[in-house]
Amino acid sequence: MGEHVAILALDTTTVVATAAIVRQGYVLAEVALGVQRNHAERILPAIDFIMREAGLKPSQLARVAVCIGPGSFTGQRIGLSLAKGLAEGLGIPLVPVSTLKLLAEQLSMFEGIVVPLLDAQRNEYYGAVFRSRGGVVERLVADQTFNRQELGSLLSNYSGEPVMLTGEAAEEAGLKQSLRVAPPPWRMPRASVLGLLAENTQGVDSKAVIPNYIRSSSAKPRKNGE
Amino acid sequence: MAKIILAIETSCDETSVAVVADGSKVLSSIIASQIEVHRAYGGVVPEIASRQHIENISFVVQQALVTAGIGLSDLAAVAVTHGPGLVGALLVGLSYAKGLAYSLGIPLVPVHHLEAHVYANFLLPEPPQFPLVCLVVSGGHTDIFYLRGHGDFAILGRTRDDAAGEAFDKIARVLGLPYPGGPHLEQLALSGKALLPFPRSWLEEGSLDFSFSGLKSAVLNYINNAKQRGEGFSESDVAASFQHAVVEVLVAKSLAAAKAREVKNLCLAGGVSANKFLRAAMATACGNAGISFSVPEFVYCTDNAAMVGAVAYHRLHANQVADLSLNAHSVLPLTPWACG
Ligand SMILES: [Zn+2]
Repeated sequence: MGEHVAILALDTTTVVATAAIVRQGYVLAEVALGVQRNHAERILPAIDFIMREAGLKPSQLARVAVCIGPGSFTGQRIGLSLAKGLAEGLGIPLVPVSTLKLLAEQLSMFEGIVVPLLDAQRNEYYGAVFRSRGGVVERLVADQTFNRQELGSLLSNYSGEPVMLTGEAAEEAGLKQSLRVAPPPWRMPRASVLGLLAENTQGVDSKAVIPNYIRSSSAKPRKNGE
Repeated sequence: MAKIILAIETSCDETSVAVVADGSKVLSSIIASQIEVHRAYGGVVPEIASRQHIENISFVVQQALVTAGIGLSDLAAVAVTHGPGLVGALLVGLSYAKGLAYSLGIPLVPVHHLEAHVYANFLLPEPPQFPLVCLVVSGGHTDIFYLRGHGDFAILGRTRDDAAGEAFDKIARVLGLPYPGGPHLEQLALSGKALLPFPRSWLEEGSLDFSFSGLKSAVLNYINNAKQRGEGFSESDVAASFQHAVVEVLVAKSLAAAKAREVKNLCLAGGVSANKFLRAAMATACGNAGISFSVPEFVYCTDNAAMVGAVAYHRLHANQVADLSLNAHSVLPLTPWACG
């Protein structure tokens, strides 16, 4: 019983905690909460809420999709650890997706260059570049960190095309570069889009999946005798 | 039928998962230690610990299940340490445990890390009898617990400054011993004589609290003065004298606590309870006082998930089950949960 085609999608890598259930191209339920730092407390109650609203039991899930960053290191681990626990408890595959890729996919109705940006502290952004054309979003530049100057020179490569910035750092960056910025609802991660993306993506064994940190830990090894 | 609990512990630098039946029978206890990773930094780096946990967690869970020879459908509950500890590290085990329990539709049992250390004693073939007094001594804690029964406890004393294990690590570092310092200091002390007159801090009359900062400063001063005068000193004598001073206070205060509460059972727990000199001194003192003494096996002294599974069995029995919003806490008060 129960066609195992429903996908649970979740993201806790930014200031939003979002979860959704999609099935065969439709969104059955979605929540997006501006939680700031309370992801660990709020994400599983949100998942339970949408599971009940969708009338599904965990055993009816086919896959779990999760954003693996970049973003908050702790946020990345909360979402991915939870997703691993869910996927491994159910014996189903995991679909790990870059947060920046998700943000770009949310602008698939836009025609032009899409640049998702997240605050990476130390005057840098986590960002990437995509081209959206006819509803298809294609990656042009890998996830990485860059500062404002680097962002400016990167964007000059696409001067003939319309450009739209998105993500939680887009507004601040857009003002500086006088560029269009996606409207607020499209700027924040939405798990429904993540779930729909996962319908067309093959899942993997969750055990070896790790966050997409981009940056290494800032700790420096001691010298001997210190 | 046996109640089988899968327990997860990631409060510091060990990714540990255990499968425990009925709170006492360890079917598996897997510990992925990160000591090698943190050695280059001279101590645990929280961000690196968290990164290691998420790389390890799934594999350690799998290994614990395979070693125990059980499947997920055999589990009655999932248990997890939710504090105190490094929040980023705790959150990996906690979030994983929440996902696992939710997907299996079984209870999630929240466990306090210090309580878990105490319960390492209940993994012994002959568990201690209530009422009891337990000294929990580690790199982060030096606490005397009083337990009348499962979940019915009070804290009688605690350190006012450094934890005993912290003092061990600090002195070991000054003596140039490798990380982690405690066990190396113990080794060095074996060849030394405890003749140096380092101070013991007893605090005010009748206090069961501890203070190790004065002792630590005295040892550091002794070393610095010797160096400044260009005199040599015996490192092994310093190690032995320091260890002796710490252990003397730990033993005396634990016995005083047992006497004050008229308790005939004394337990030792926590990372420093692996120290053989402390174990022997405590056993001797208890023997002389006619008190029965328990100390966990060495593998259950340092951080492990089996001890978490031991507490969780009794917490589950008392219906101490977490809701879906359970969070991790770096500081977590321990509140009694006995069911009456
Ligand atoms: Zn501990």
